[in-house]
Amino acid sequence: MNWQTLPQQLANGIFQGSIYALFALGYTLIFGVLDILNLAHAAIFMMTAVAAWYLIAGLGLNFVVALIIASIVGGLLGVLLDRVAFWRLRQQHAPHLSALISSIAMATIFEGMVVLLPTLGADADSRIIGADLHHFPAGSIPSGNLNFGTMLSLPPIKLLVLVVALLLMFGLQYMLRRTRLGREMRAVAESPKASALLGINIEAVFAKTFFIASALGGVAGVLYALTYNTLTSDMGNAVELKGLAAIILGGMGSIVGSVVGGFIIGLAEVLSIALGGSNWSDAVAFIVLFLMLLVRPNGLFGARATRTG
Amino acid sequence: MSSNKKFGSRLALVALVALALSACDLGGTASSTAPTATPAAGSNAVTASPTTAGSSMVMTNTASMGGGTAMTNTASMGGDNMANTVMLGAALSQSKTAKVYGDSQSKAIKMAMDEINAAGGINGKQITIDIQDDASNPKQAATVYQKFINDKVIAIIGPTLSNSAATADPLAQQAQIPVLAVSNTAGGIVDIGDYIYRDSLSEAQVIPNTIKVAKAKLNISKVALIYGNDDAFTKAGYSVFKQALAANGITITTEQTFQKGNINFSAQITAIKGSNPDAIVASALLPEGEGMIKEARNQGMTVPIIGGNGFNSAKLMSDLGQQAEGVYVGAAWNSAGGNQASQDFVKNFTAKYGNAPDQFAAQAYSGVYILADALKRAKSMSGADVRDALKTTKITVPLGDFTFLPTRDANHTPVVQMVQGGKFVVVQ
Amino acid sequence: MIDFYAANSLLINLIAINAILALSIYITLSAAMLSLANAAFMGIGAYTAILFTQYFGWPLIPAALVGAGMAALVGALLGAPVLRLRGIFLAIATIGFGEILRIFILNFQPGVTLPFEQQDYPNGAEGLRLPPPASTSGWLTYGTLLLLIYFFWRLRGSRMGLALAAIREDEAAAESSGVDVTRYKLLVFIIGAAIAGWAGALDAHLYNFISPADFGFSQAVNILVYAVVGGTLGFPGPILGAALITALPELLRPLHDYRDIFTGVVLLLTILFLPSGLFSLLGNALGIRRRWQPAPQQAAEGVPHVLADPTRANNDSPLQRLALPVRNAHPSADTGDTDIGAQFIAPAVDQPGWDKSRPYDDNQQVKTQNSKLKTAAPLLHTEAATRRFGGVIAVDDVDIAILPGSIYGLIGPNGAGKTTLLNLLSGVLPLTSGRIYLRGERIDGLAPHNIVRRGIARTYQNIRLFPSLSVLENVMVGMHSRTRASLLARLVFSPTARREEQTSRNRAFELLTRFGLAASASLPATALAYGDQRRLEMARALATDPTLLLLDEPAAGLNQAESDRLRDLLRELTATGLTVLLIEHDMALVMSVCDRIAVLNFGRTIAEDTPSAISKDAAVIEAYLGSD
Repeated sequence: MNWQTLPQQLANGIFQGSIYALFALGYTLIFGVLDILNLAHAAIFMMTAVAAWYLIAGLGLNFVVALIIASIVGGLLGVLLDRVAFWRLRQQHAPHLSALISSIAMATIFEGMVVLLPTLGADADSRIIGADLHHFPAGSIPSGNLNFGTMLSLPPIKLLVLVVALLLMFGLQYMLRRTRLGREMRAVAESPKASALLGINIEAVFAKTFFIASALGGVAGVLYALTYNTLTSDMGNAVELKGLAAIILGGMGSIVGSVVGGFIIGLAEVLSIALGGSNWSDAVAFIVLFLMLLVRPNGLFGARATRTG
Repeated sequence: MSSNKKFGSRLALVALVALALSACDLGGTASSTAPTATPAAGSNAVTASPTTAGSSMVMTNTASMGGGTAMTNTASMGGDNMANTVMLGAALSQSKTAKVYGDSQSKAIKMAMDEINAAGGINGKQITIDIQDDASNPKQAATVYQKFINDKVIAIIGPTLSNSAATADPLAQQAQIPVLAVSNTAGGIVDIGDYIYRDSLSEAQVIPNTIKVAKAKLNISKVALIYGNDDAFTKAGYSVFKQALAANGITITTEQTFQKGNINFSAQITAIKGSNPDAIVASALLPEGEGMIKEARNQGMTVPIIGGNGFNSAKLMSDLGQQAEGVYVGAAWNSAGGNQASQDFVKNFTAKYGNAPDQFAAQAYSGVYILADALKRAKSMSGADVRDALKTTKITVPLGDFTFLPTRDANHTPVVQMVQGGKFVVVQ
Repeated sequence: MIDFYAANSLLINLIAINAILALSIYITLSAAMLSLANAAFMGIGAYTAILFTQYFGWPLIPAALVGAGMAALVGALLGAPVLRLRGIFLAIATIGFGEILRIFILNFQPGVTLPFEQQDYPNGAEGLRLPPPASTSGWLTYGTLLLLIYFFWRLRGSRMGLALAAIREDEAAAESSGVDVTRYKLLVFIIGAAIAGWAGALDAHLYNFISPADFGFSQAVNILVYAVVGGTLGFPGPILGAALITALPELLRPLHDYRDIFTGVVLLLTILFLPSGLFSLLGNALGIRRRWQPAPQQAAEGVPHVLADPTRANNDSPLQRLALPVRNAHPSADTGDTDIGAQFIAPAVDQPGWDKSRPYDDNQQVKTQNSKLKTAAPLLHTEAATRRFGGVIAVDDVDIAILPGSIYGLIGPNGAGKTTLLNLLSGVLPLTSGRIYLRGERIDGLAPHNIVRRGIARTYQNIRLFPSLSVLENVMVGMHSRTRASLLARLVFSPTARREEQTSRNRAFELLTRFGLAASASLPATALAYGDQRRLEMARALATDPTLLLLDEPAAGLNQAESDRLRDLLRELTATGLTVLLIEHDMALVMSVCDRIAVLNFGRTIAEDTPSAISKDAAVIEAYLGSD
């Protein structure tokens, strides 16, 4: 590789990592609190981005406002997901495998629905969104590059993504440690039964968890789409398994772990491309994941693996 | 709680019964024991709407019409073909990964069919094209082919993807039903058998010319090569590019890959930028191609970017605007001009659907005309006769003056276009 | 009929192939392993078989056998490390493996060229075309499916089938009933891999084309969905699921863009309203449930087993076990031990049956442990047995010696380390240091099932039966280590196997009769009353034909009459030469049946003597009553 490009590649990796980390945050939160591997998380990632696209391209909103509104939409989609796909299974104390399957079913439904949504004037080359590629209108996202010397240049949006990602990570950590909701969530994560006995409304905690987790996943989706000014109905697929690798690496259910895991996967991927192995870059994440599971199945920060009873 | 559960179980039961019933229904139509004059409700067959204007099309049918007009329906033909229609099948990817291409093809096929029927059809008979979705899945394509074979269609258009063709076309070959591929570009497809034709130029026919023209025009000596390595189309294009580059004495500074659905190309482009090439050669489909071009321009790379069939869409310019400038596209169809048929096609398609057609549409549209022409000339509607008629095709379609090579591959000249001032301009 | 088949042969063939794939994951699920590697094994089978048919020109069947063998080999190599993982972790590791393999095939260039059209092998994303016409005819697929149906039908109720069911229901209990859990899991993983590899080989040659896209993540998920939608409680479930899910896209084709949504909705409705899968629906309709499913009243209502079992409400149902943590993540989680944190909570002074006023025979001489040891060779003894959990020493330097034919009591406050010691003796937990001898031979470090084989059986403090197995089947699992009929013998209806089956069935009945449970033999274990469940667990332990029986609070929750019956039973058992280690809080019981008693407190032996001596020991009274 050309060593001149190293600073730029590191920046690329950190950026890609921050998307994985944001995505993984929500993934790991749902896993931590509800013990569900929610494979519909990627669908919410995508649908929130679509919502932002409607707001920006359709209503002409500023992208920051759109980001905020869309993340609320994402959160609500998460609550909907919980009510439709998981609520009944909880009532029946159904096996975890059922929740996995039902999240797959919801992902299928979400992705099937999104391609049928109507398109907007500016992009109306067909009646529906379809499988096509969509873009945000010109001028809706800050363009240009910030140059740091000759070896590193970054579009401002990437810096914004990094800042938002870090803020959300610290915010989430703060929320879990310092707020009443955070304490309740941690209590429910330890034992829903005991929490219910202590008077915690666990259904409310589940709903809030889904809201927060899905909003986080949604923010990741919007930022990803904004950065590359690209929107597709299958944009979640590429992130889904990488996000999984990130949370395993960091330790299932660990907030810090998922962030660190996300950055490691992002950097490993980009550096493998930089070193000439772009053929294998997708395998790198999984080889890391695989070895981690064999050597230290609880991940880097995995204090607890899953609930035991 | 328990009554609730019972209700749930019943609900599921009802859903299943409904499914089972719909299965029986479909089974009935598939076995074609009861001839029906109109296609069964719910099937995807589209029938002619004679009101659609197609008269502005200039169709030069140079082949003789003699002999084929006295067409007799043999007993072996299915219900739909007994009546006043000629039944064709089209297996297109209308869902999953290749939906974007399948949708485009389906629009073009419907448009061509309407025009042909409005202009009198096939010697007085209307064409019916049964368009079925193969879900971008080779196995489903094979199942769709089996349905077509059961329905005794006269010929099949498609399937969208080369992988599906590799799986499904042997069935048609075995059943002696002619197939006209309208978007397959991989090698080996027409080698499946003498009933398999295609009007889409293979990568091997387009790319060497592209590189030759680009080298002459741009005087490039070293390029970076980027391609999707998990997709049959882009991977095949990569191999041909590599050979063509070697043949033209152009060295490769770095090879980079991506996978389907990638939208972040920053690492690949940074690596390419670091290798300092004269141009970027890309074997990509449009979604990844656009992302790649955008990233290259964002990182300040102004070198020419050379792509293949996948880039041949007006969407490239409408999506990328200024950033598309300097992109070279070697393709089977001159979307910016071409012959009269091509210009009329673009105009009518845009009027009808509100967006400009891409190459997939042009090839599918041309395919229907090529088939219709062969059907008019065929001695009978038997597979062998239609196949023989295809062999002697000589017709002007939007793709150009069109004939088939003895290998059943398309024989027309590819073009090299470049984006200049927001439009494709043919590079001479 | 023939017309219908001719018109739909491809679809029917595909259903059969998918049914085979569904069975390949069903067998791993039936041992409570959620592996998503079967799509990858399918690819390995396909690519290997193609190499042999195309490059070496072999006929399909031997080539497909090599493909299945290759998949099995990779399965063995992969299984050895990853089967330590459980539930979601195993699933994720196998997803990772699948992705690595897919990317490997995309980029692998060994420089082999196939004669047909000079294609490179394996030709990456472009895939491999095989020469037409189809070289797999339907009969091979259908024949395979029939063979598998036969295999799974014979597997049900076989020694191996019972062992798998036990592993699925409760892995730890299966292990301590003599089932070599690790070996069976690996075996089942390899069988699943081989089946998937074979299916892949057939599939590639049926469609004459294969590419890496055919066995990616989505295919892995598809295979799982076939099995789960169909239902994993019996082998017809996965077949049914494969048929429905495969046919669904064809049936829904007219729905176009709505097809995906509809597929998702069907999947969702099934999992929400038919948690046991379509098969349970069919079973209901035809009234055939009983034949396949041992736990009718639960599954019929869609209630998981866990709810029907009051004693294990918070523990694992067969499928819930899939989501349990990585092994050893929580050392105490699977051992039935009391929570470590609870060990320091107030000593139990008000234990039922601890009748402090009751006079004991205090005439006996107080003998030291050593003097007892000199009088006879102990059946089992420990040397400085120690077990730490992090900073906590649960069992601290314990020496005990149990004479043959005796009843040895182990008492102490809650959390004193009694159950941990029992877990050490039965091999469930490894020692931190020290040694354990049975008849003078070291047994520490042996796997629990090997310890069972050497004659030590145990029960659990919080009863661990196999909830959805019948009472009789529970006992028959206990005989696992004393029988040897192979599945192969059963597949060919060997008379020896049948005789052995009959013998063990008879013995199980005898045991049940002895415990007064014969009338309930065909009920699911969870249908028994609490006291009966305790006795059933003991019967299961005795079925392993032990010389030493470790009982963990067998009288807990029993009423006085039941407790008396237990006492008689214990005496009866020792009369036949059995040795018993008894952990019990019911002091009346302990004092009346035990020959010697050891008292543990904070992991240490604070006294070891005859019952009468123990009852007067100041340290013991101190430990029980506390000093403040």
